[in-house]
Amino acid sequence: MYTPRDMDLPRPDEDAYLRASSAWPGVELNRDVFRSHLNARGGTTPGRHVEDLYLACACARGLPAALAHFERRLLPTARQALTRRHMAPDVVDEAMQRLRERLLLPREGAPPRLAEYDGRGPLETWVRTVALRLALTELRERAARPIPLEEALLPVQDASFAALKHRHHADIEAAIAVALASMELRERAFLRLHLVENVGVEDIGRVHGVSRATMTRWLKAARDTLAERTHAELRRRLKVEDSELDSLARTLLSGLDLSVRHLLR
Amino acid sequence: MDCPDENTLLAYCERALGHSQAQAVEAHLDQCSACLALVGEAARGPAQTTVVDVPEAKPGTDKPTAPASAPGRGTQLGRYVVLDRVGAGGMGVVLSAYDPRLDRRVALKLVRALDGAGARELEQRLLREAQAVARLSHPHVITVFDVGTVDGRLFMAMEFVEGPTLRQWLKETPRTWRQVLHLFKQAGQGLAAAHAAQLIHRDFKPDNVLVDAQGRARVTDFGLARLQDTAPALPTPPRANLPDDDAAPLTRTGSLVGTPAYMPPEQWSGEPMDARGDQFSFCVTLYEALFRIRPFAKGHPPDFQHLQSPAHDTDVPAWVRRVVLRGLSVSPADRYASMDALLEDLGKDPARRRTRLWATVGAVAGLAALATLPRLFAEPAPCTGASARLASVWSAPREARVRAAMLATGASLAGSTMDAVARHLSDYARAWEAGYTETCEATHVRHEQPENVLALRMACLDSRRQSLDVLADALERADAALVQKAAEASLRLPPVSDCSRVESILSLAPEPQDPAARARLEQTRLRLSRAQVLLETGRYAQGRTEATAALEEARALGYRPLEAEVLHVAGWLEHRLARNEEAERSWTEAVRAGLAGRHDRLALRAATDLVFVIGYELEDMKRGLEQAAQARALMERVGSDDESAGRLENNLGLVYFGEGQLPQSLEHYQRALVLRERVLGPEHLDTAKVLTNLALVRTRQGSPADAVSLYDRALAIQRRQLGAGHPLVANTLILLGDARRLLEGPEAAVSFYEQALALREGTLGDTHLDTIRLHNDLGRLHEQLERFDSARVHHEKALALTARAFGEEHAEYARSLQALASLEDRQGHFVAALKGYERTLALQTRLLGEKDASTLRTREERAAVLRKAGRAREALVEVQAVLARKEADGGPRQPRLVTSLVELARTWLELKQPENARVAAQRALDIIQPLGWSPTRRAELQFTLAQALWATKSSRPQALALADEALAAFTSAGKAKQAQAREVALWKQARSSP
Repeated sequence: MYTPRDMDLPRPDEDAYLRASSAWPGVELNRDVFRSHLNARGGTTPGRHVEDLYLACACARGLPAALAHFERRLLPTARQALTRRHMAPDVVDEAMQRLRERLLLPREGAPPRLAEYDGRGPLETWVRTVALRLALTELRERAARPIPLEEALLPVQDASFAALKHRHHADIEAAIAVALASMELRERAFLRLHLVENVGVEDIGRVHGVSRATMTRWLKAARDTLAERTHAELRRRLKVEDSELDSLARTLLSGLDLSVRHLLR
Repeated sequence: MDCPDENTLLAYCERALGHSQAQAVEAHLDQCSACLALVGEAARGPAQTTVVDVPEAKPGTDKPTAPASAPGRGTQLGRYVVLDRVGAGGMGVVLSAYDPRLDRRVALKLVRALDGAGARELEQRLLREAQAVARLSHPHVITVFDVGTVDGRLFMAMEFVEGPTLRQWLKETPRTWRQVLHLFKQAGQGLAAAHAAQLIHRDFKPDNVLVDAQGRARVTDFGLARLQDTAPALPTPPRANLPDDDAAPLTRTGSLVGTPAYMPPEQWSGEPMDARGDQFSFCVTLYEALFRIRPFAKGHPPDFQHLQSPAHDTDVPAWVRRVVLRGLSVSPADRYASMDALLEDLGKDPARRRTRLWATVGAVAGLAALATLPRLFAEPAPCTGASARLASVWSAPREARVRAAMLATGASLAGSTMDAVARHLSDYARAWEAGYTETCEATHVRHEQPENVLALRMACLDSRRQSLDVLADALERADAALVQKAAEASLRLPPVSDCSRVESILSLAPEPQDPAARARLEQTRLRLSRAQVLLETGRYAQGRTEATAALEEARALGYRPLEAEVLHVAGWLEHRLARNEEAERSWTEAVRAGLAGRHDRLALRAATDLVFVIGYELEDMKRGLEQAAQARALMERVGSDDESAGRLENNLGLVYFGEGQLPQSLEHYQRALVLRERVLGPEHLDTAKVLTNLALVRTRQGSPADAVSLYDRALAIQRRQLGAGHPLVANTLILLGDARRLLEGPEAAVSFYEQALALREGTLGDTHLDTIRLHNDLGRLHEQLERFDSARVHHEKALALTARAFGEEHAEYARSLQALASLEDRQGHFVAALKGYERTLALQTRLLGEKDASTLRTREERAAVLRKAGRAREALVEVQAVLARKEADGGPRQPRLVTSLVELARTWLELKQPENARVAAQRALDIIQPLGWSPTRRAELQFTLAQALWATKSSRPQALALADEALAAFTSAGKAKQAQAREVALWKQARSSP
């Protein structure tokens, strides 16, 4: 077996501790405490956000310096994420208060929930998503308002087709639903992120491990497929002239995003 | 329905989930709009403004992984000077920088500042590891020159390799499996060498291998994985556009954080990784390069159980595939025991074994060429002998002997000069050893270089070693004069790097092969080295004798490349002896011999030097420019390199400067500066030369402020490279003084002149011409300040020293007389002045002849005194004679006429012939119009013209307008032209009042 003499074999967990503790000035966490925290959460496999785990562990243990970092670095971005979604200030405030309670207060017989963070993604993002979840719950409690489908499907400027579209409205909706159902799970997932959540092409690309250009291609392909299948489904359901159908489809396509958005929601 | 927790959603966004888990999440997202919103939020990254809005809690708690602030161009980091930012990565920034000690460009990796509990220990580990890499010297590992901390940040200075990464190299164009294998074997050797030195790379991937200009693989970034194998904590860094495959280099040196595709299985399970982990990564890389697909499907971790087969048919032989697959074993125990073992199997090409037989036969045939290198074969390990070979030429004992010899001269500069010499020569020795080892290994270890190329490169290296020997020999017998030149001479040894320009070495005409001729060739080369050293150490006459003998020998041998080299050195010796016509002849012949012997680089060099000797020294601009066109054509042929281009631009700048065409001159110098900064670095002496040239142009263009800062830069370089006491420093001090004088008046220059005088007296001695002339310059400064007593002291001192150094029957004595006469003139002692000028003229006419520029200048000055003394008629005759002589020599539109025409105009005014005066002044103005001279020089002419015009009474408004322009120019020149401004103002006042 090949092991050169005196070779300073890299110790991943040792390196991880040093690197992580270098990242947070003033936050001093015992080496063994951190190591067992780390090992309980998957250890040092590649891609693990070791520095963030260090901070989360320190916060869960109530180290004041760590809590200061949490207040200063993590809470503001969470607040901004909510504000960016045009949530009412009182909703945001309520969510932020709940966020602090949820993440930092010890539970009975268990450490604060922040300790559950396992490092498979940046801590900042984790906190942000928890905040959003809390805010959405808060909103759901206040009831969401529906968007009327008709508006989405009837572009106002095309009065001549309004009647036709109105007549076939149920079929149109059904056709889109069928077309959507026929798509792959993953295609639906990124279409939804794009159309409903308005996430940028580049960001979606990253989730799927492809470049912006590729993601753009994928999105276009998915939308083309969707349009094509909706068209085919409509053709099957409606016994209208081809030319009439084409006009309908063309107009419909301009509203497709809205319809799909609605159906994907 | 249970929603996945945030950890899982984040893992989905980071693609850290297995395939089935990811599908489960997607199925849930299909149903749950809340979780979709969360994924959308996580995918999006933080709001742009977040961190900016947050006030700093306390200093020192900056974003832990903020991109390290990158020092800007020109910043000094330790001994390095930053040139450029090359890239940034998880570990910090990568800069290109100039290292004055090695006189070359280096890549400087600046590790991001670490802080906090573990910082010290982490830094210590990194430092230890980097030091281990720095001790490693291997042709396929990027050399780390230096490791340390600067401003509290860890840095590594390493070789700057210009070339694609292995990934880019593979993408550039389709490569055959043999090409791929060839390069990987080199990279593998680099890894093996590191393993032998107890170093593990831990992040081997195609982005950490560079392909240099010679096409060699160079492994880089050892151990830096410690810093970058996770994504930074906060905030999410701006992510670059990712090309399709997930391993995308952000920059050539800073790699994308976490490229899991190359990590061995044991790293995924968090086990310590040994050298066999590197082997696995190496094989992933090689598999991908050969089959254009990754061995294992993407994932976190990749699917190590199933090998992906290439999509297309492949011509990669099965034995290669077998070797790679063994290296890809999941269990380290199943892989090769070491990289060496793997490489051995990769080298067992059944087809190659046949060709190697051929190579052996070829080597026998090439033995004649190797006759001069018997020791190469006598040594058991073929390529370890570099230091031993060099030690016979440059070693600590020899350095000590040289130091003793230099100090024994008693020259005040000896100590600091010796330090510079020792530094330069040990750099040279190091470069030689590296060159030797590399050249030898290319044939005997890497088997990539034919024997005949080895022989040629070794001959080149031998001649470089000889040059070093000859210089050391000269230094051992140093005298005071040599001490002055030693620092520069030690910088001007012929570069070792020439010997790795395989292409140009191979293109040379073949050397004679019979042993007698070879012995004579060596003999001639030795003479050439001696001539070169004599040139650089300032012993021109001796050098010329040596060069003449070498030339005869080279011609007798009929070996044209050597003849060309000898002629080139001969030309320089002649130029230094001010025999510029002869230099022109030698260089012209050097171009021819170079072309005949296919020594294109030398031909180019000689053609470039011709530009300057013809166009500047011999003042034949037209032919100089023709030479430049010739040089450009040669550059095209040789393959343009920045160094040659820089030299040509500088020479062109000189040519245009000599012709007074300042804008063109400026343009060429500026190009030369850019090129030299790039190729030689901002700290090189030749860069300083362009700086002073540029400064001179800016001074002449009336921008002394620009000139001052250029001179400051040049001065700093010269002081660093040559020592603060070097005579060149004195020259630059004087030029700087001149620029300051223009900017702030004569008083400002005095201290610079005095510093320079002290330097020259100390290093050159009292009776050196440069010291003597500086007395005159100081005298003239005092004249301007109307401190006539001090002025007289300096001028008389100069006269006495000239008499001592040259005797009274000498042109220099005449110049000293002239300086005194000019002082008398300034003081208004016209009779004494005229007497002085007449003595001067008598000497000059006798010694230099009537046509000489100095003789004419004296006559012109004498004419001016005659005019002021009320003898305008005589003055007119004299100045017209001077003008006629100049015109006969150089035509009616040359800048040299300007001073005469101005004097003529003044004389005509004195004689109340304003129309004639106007014509003369107008002519002078017309001559300088296209030349871009400084506003104050133009103002002088304008004022003369204004006076003439006023006197003609015909165009008085125009006269006043001209005077206004002149006044404005003098006024904006500030203190230096105060007197002139006052004169014009008074003149105007007297005329504009009704």
